[in-house]
Amino acid sequence: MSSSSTTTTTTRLLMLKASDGVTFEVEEAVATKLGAINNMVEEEGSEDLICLPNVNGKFLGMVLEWCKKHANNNTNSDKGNDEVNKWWDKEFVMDLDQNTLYHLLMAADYLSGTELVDLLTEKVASMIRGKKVEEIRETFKIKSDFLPGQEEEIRKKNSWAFE
Amino acid sequence: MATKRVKEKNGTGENLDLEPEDRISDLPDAVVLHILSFLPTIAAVRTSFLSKRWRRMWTLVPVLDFYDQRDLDYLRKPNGNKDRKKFFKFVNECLKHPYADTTITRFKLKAEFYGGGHRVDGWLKFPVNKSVKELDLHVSPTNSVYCLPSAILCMRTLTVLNLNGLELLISSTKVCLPSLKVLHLVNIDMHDLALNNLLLGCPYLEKLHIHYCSGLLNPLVLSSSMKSMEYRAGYRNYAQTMEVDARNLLSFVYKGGNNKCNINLVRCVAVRNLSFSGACLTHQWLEDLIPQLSFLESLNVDSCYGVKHIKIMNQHLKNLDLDCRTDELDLLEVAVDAPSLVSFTYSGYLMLRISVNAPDLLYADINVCGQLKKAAYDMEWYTRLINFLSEFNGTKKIHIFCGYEKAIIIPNELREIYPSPLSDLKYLKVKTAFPLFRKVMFKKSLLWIAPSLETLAIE
Repeated sequence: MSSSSTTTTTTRLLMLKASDGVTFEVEEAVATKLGAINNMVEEEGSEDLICLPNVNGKFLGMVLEWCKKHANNNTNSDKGNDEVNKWWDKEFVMDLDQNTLYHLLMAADYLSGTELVDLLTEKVASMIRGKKVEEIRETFKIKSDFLPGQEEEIRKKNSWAFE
Repeated sequence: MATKRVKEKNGTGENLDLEPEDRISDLPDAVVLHILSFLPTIAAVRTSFLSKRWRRMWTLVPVLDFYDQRDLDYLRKPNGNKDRKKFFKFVNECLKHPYADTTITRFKLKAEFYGGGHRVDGWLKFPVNKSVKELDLHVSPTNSVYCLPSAILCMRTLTVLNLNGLELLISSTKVCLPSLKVLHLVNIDMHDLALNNLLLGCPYLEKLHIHYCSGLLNPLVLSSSMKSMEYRAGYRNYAQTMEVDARNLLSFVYKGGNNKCNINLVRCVAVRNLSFSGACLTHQWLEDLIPQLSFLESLNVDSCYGVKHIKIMNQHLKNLDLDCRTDELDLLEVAVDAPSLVSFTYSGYLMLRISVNAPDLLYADINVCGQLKKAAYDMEWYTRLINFLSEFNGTKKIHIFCGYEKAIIIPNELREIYPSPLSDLKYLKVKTAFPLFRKVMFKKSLLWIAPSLETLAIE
């Protein structure tokens, strides 16, 4: 299984190869913030090149940017660190368009970046919160695929949620 | 579910520039449920009308979060009785709806209570039967008090319990919460014995908050597992004595309302962080306690009344934060003897005497914004300032904050009598609340205070 030397060296560099061939060189300590990479590193031991055929380079780059920020902020154990992370997270998700949000979420989910998934899903939740059904449909371009009359039927049946 | 999933054939995120339609419906179920778990249940239920994809998702969300009025039509003012009935109906319908096979990990209920506990009792059977891990119950009493059903206190799976606004009459009720790690008691009406009894049933409790609870007069907080505790005194009701017997306690925070409370922490031998504010302490008490805590790393004493002399002696203390900015405080003397001290923050007026024995002090943050009661920058002020600063001469970096520049412009006649108080200091940063008018004199004074400076920053 894993040799102890690979997991303890903090400056070891990993190569991550995205679906479009773009490669990223990242410190192991940064990449292992992603659960999936962490598992691969532990399993494959000395393998330095990790191929990620499900993630596009653009979004892998963004995910790694997030990891880097959080890995750095966590090393200097300051009191205001949580605050800094929160502020930075807020900036990170502020202007994401839905397409980017979707691909980031898929990438973060695939790579098991639990904290990043939390951040992004909460962002999506905030886009739903306080909206009426029609407004949510409009926000996310969701098309109702109910049969004619079916929607009314459901609404009638569940009128307790609408009154 | 199948209709919209064909768009992205290879799933690798190609065709990125195509303006996508509905992205959110393409997310995997687990992610959608994750999103819905952040929403109040009413909002999750309403997503069921979006499309077939969403129709049953809400019944799989592991969180139930019922908020009275806030989300029943957003921004609408509560409309008394009618809204109340709607809320009751909503909760009832949800709880009998097909959650049968769903694992519920968190149950939150925030509602106003109008009497008739049977309704809430009935609702709370749900989290008990579902063996939830987190329970958050916030009842704002309007004219009567809701009393927690005893079944809640025997939930073996519960790890987090937040209770707000209820009555705990459990002095002799059986409590068995073997998984509980976090307990928050806010606005709870309970007696000392009830707290005792509660803690006896939580053998693995790590974090306890007691905020604004009435009825606790002389509580004994007994727990061998507890790592952190925070107490905030109530507005009208507060403890007169408090004994904390927790040998593994690492952090203790006390926020009083400037009332007298005799706190006994003698058995908290492992404590690392201590914080007192608005407490009525005596110098004797501090002097007796602090040296005994051989793991103490950080101490914060903030606007504590009745302390005229603070003497802090501790071998391990690393961070000290003294905030003495209240007017009523008549602190006369501060003596710090802490050889391991790294950082010292002081806010308040300059007292008669200060002595600091902390040879390895790296940072001193001094806020002399609060003035003496007489508030005059006279010879007495400057003399005190010089004496005060000279105690920090060995420090590596000093930050000074003051209201007016005048407070730090030391008159020439004093500069002739006294030696520079910070003759060894290399780094000084000074910030004033009001703009500088006499920049040159200000800088000159600072350079007299600390003539060996390598870095001087003025803001």
